[in-house]
Amino acid sequence: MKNSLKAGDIVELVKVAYLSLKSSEEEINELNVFPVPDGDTGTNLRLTMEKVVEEIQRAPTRMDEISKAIIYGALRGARGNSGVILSQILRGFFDEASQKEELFSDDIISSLKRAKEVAYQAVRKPVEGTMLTVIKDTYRGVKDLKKKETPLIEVLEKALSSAKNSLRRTPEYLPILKEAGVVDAGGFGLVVILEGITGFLRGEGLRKEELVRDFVRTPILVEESSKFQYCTEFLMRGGKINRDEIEEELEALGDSIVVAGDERQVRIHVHTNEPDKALACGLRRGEITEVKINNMWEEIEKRASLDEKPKLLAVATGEGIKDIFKSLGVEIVVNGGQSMNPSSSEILEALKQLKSKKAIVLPNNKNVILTCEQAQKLSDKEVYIVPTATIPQGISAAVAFREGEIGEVTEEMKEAASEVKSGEVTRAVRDANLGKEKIKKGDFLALVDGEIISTGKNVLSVFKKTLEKMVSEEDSVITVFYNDELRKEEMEKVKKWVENKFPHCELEIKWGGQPLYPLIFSIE
Amino acid sequence: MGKKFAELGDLRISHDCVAELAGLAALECYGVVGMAHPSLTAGVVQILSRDKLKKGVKVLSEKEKIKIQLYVVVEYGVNLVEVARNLIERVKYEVKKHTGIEIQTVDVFVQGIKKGK
Repeated sequence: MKNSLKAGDIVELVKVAYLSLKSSEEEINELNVFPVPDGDTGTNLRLTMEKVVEEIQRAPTRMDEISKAIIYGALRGARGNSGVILSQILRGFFDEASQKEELFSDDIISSLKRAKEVAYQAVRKPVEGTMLTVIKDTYRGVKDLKKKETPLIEVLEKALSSAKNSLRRTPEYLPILKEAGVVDAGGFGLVVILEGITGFLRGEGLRKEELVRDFVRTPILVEESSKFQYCTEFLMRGGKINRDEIEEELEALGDSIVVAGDERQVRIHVHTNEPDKALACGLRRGEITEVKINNMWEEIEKRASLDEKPKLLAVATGEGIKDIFKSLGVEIVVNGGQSMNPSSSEILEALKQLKSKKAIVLPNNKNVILTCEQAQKLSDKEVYIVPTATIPQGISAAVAFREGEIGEVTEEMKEAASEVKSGEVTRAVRDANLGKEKIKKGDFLALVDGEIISTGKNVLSVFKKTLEKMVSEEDSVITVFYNDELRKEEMEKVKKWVENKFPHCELEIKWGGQPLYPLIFSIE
Repeated sequence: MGKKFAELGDLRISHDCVAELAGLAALECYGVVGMAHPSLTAGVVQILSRDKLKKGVKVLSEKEKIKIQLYVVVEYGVNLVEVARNLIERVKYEVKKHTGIEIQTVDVFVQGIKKGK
């Protein structure tokens, strides 16, 4: 892995940044609701970067010359608000970088610092929750790293993760983003660039699916009490387009009119009761594409008809386990669990889909609790969390769910969850010493409430050993979820064993289908 | 500038108010570091303080439509054409959103360039 970036690398990375933006152009466009919701942020960023690429192809190969070419290209190519901000970020970064021959970790950090400064100095009243916030937080994320010792790739990974976290928070700063249920488009563009660059240096490509999953949502633009029913949007191509003329014509049809673009291509957005006429306005002048017509009243109605009764949302994995949650009245099960945590925006999205203004969330994993708390903050619904750390805890909580005052119900569910002893049997991923015992990679180990209780080579005997240690006189039900590594007949044998060993207990066997853990169990 | 609600009465929005709105929107526009006075006396451009913002905005009305002129100071090193274009779009959008008044034109006068550190 490289420990510095030379002039040639910079040329490569600029191209990578351009290609990353190009491949995500549509997604970035879609997010664009601020400062003017005209859906062109992605196009603007791509065009800005296109000019930069053009410019560096002509530049000689010294760092200072390349830096100059990047700054010049960005200045000339800057398109739209986001493009101008990007040009300032590049200007700051390469202003600093131009003084070096190659960029080491400390140079990257100081260049990011300069990028942030220059970006902020070009506006009197910076609006937070935009690209500006994301570049600021990106620098903040790396500034305390040990400058010289941290490997280059780690600096970039940290920059990327800080940028992503910052992007997630943009709706907290900018109310219009929150209302529309999206993150900032320009900020997303920056994340795309960083992801592209980091991915490239890691030897992988841009992980676009992941970015889209985490950040891209269709904005809900519902103007209060709009007297127009249809949000109509399309792209029109033609020769010599006169934007003012189109605007005038659309004004007779509705409001919230945006006509953005140039002589050859314009994006048209209008709220109207006559979408056919709006389209005709485009058709008379050229060809139209990307037509979107939304019935806004339907959206509003959907929101208004939300139930007051709280609904349950759980995070779980494994078909069997999900079905159990559903049978217990959980409305939506978000896929996720150990080593596959859902993002807060996924949870947020699920909360949005929930047909109720109130929700109780069961994270069912220690690491997911925090994510749910983030989603709780971002959601406009009344969200309560029962911090269940395991699947059995979640199931007990779900059983305790009833209709009633949501705060009260949540407390009861918490109590139910805390009464279960829950555990799982899994494989050791590496060799380890545990007190006197040695665990070899691949051995099975049983954990109860996070503590290792027993280990061994055979999954079922590990399970039996665990039960011997954990089951007390007061317990009466043991529930176990097995996955496809085990057969039902094997489980039936364990049932016989339990009946003999603990006559006061009953063993319930259920197929959970969960990954990673051959067995998940609870004792109560 | 007025808006008619036949059944309720009239709403009148003063030029000053539109100017204030436009000035605030302009300051939030990327690339704009301040508003300036329209008259260039002795070649000195002074950035107007926040409470005098509207001095950097002229509002002219013609029947139902209005024209806005913005006198701004822009950061050195940004694409002036693009900043102006963004500024026009943003001010049109914001003023329309808040007042419902149709803006016919927005003209931008770059009165100065400021070089940050």
